[in-house]
Amino acid sequence: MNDILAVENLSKIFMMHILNGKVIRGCEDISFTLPEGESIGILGPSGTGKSSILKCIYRTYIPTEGRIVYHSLQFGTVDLASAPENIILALRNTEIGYVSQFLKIMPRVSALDVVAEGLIKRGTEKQEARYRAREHLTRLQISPDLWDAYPSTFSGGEQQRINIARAAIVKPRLMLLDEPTASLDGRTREAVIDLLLELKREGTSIIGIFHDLDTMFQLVDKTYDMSVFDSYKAEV
Amino acid sequence: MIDNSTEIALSLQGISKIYGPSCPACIQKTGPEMGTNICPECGSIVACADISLDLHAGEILGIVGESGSGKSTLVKCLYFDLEPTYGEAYLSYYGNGRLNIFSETSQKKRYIRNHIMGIVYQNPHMGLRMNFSCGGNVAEKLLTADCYHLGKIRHRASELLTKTEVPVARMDDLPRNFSGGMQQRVQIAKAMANNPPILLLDEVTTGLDVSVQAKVLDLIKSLQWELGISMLVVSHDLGVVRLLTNRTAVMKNGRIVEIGLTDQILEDPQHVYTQLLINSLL
Amino acid sequence: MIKQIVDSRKDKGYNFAFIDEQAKREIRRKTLKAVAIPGYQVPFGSRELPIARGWGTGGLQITLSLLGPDDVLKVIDQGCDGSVNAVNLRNLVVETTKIATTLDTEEATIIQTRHRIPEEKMTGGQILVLQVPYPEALRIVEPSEAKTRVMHAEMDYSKLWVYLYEDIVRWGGITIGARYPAMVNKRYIMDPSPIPRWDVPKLHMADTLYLFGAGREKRIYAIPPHTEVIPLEFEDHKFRVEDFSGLSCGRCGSTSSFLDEIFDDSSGQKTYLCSDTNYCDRRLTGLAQRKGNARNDR
Repeated sequence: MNDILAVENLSKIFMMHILNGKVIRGCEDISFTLPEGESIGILGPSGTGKSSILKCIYRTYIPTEGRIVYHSLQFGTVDLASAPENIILALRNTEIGYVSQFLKIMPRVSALDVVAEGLIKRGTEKQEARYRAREHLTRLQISPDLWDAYPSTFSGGEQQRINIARAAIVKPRLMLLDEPTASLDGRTREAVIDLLLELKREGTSIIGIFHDLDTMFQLVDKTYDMSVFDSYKAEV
Repeated sequence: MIDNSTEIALSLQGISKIYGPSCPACIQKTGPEMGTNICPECGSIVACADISLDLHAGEILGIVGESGSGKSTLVKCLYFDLEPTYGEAYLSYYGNGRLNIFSETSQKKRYIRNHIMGIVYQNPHMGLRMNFSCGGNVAEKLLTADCYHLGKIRHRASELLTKTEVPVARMDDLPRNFSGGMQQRVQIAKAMANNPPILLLDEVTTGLDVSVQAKVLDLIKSLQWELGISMLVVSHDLGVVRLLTNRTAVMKNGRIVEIGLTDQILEDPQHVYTQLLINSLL
Repeated sequence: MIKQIVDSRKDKGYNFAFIDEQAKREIRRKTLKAVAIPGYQVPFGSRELPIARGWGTGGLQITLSLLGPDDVLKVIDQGCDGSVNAVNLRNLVVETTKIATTLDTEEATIIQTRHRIPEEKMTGGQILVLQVPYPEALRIVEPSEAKTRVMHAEMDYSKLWVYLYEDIVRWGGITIGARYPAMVNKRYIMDPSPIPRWDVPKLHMADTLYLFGAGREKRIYAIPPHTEVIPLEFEDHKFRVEDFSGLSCGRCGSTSSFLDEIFDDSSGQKTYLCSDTNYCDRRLTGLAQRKGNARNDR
């Protein structure tokens, strides 16, 4: 199977000008490949730069070194580390989804519309988009009482599920998950895993960071262990 | 010139606005590295210099910076309120993107102002005629587009006022009797009267109450959402930019110091000034 | 002609038609420019005359610069040949030229007028000179002369249109009576001087040359014969002239002329009379003749 993504020698270093040029390490010399339709879990203690890798792929961070080769449907092979911003924006709209630990969305938009937004952006009729959004909300066990409320008032677990529904509804080709189940209880976690597995069956490739190994091993085909890698490097 | 295949709506190339005699050292000896806008040699004020950027079709691009950074000057140059000292601008909707709009005749510039671009100023007095009714303000734009049918004008005006959530019952009232937020919405309705593909927003929520601010921002977002208008949003408020834009340019001392995806600017600012700006966020 | 000019100098010490020849040439040149650009206000060097500015000096300067010894002049004020302003202007011209004057619209070669255009259709051989107090049609919406000139140059007339829009919205109709703005030759919006709306359609595709002179404001403009002059109107709110339906002239009985309302203080009665006195008089003589003929026939 062809790789959808190849990360090659990726490093991210933050140069803090306002702290007299202090340098903060994000991640260093990361390389892995992801075959299309598969999923990979990134392992490692906190502070090792797991989130930095995802943010570099999504270009919220500008990589300091290395390449992130993505095989897109729209533009062919694209190096996400250096592609023009409008290409990145187009890919975010159509191919690459990102679920963060926190909900960052427009305030004063109802949960239903937050979830439906991505579909409408891609040209789905409003009625149809809302219908599908209801399906997703039901599936992730968000009480119908909340559908018309603003997600900024929701609990952490509810916000997280809104986040997942919002990303999953458009069925992206590549999904980046940053601890998507961190604040969920057992029952709702199962629902999320179920939804993600279905996405995967339909062809979505996934890169994830998971706080609990249980969830991770239900979802991923292989792991990339940063602690091992670090210790390995230390040995050398 | 704009290559038509790239979906660029507006392309700015090397725009500078210098007040004063201006000398060869003006550009070199001002800017963020020098920490000043004033040329030490000749005393000219370099309001903005060498601004190049592309606004893509359907995109909202933010321009942030402190007051005096030159962001409003840039927008006013674009709307022909000010004449840039140097530089070119191209619109894909005008002359196939081949004509520098700054060198067009004033009649053509007026056409561009009325048909291709709309502007919303921070101060409603700049954008509205306070002694004309709301409907009359919208009508003024429609009349420039040769719509001389009273019924049609009033229909379109009420359509726009409804969209911008101004009660249609107040269409024939003078905007001077309105609250600041409502005046801003009338300004937006007026700016959109002829369906311009590009909207310039200059500090539109500055000076409004927080709750009113939120409503105006929601309105702008929904308009972009529904109509796909390309927008240039100028603000000193990072919150506004975060809410509205996909891409952001950061200006300081008349220059663009950094341009990137808005989430990248906020989470991984590269330039020392951007880092300072982000860290000053409340 | 030369003899007559020399004679008039001998008599009074004035040049023929008061203004010196060089000044007349300048005024004629500006008038020709105005004719070449219909509706465009041409600035000119307004001369001092022995009447006050604002009393028809603009029109008078055009008339004086055009008059030759063979011209026949008629001067009217508000449709009347006998009012003070008309009489004084006429006397000045006669004093300095000795040319013939008339009260008869058809007889005149040049007619100077204020506030009215004669009821009778004028011909291609005649010139109508209108006295203009305020030549700028855009002044009601823009106080700055510099700006109105740019607005004309760029054909930027939306502000005036909005004024009309606001008028209709606020008052249910356009409240402009006299000085109703009109678009000339699809290019310039023009102030037709304070003629009633009734007279504005007469400017459109006329046989006669219309010249407009504003002495205080130092502007000359013109409508050449056969020029399109369209009063500003909305597609669904058309320009309308004054309505005299059901009324007639108390003197000649005319039902198709512009009428002045006369209010009699003692009786409290309202009567209506033709504003164009010459027209009214001619109708009366014509009626008398026809009556006479009818009597003779019998």
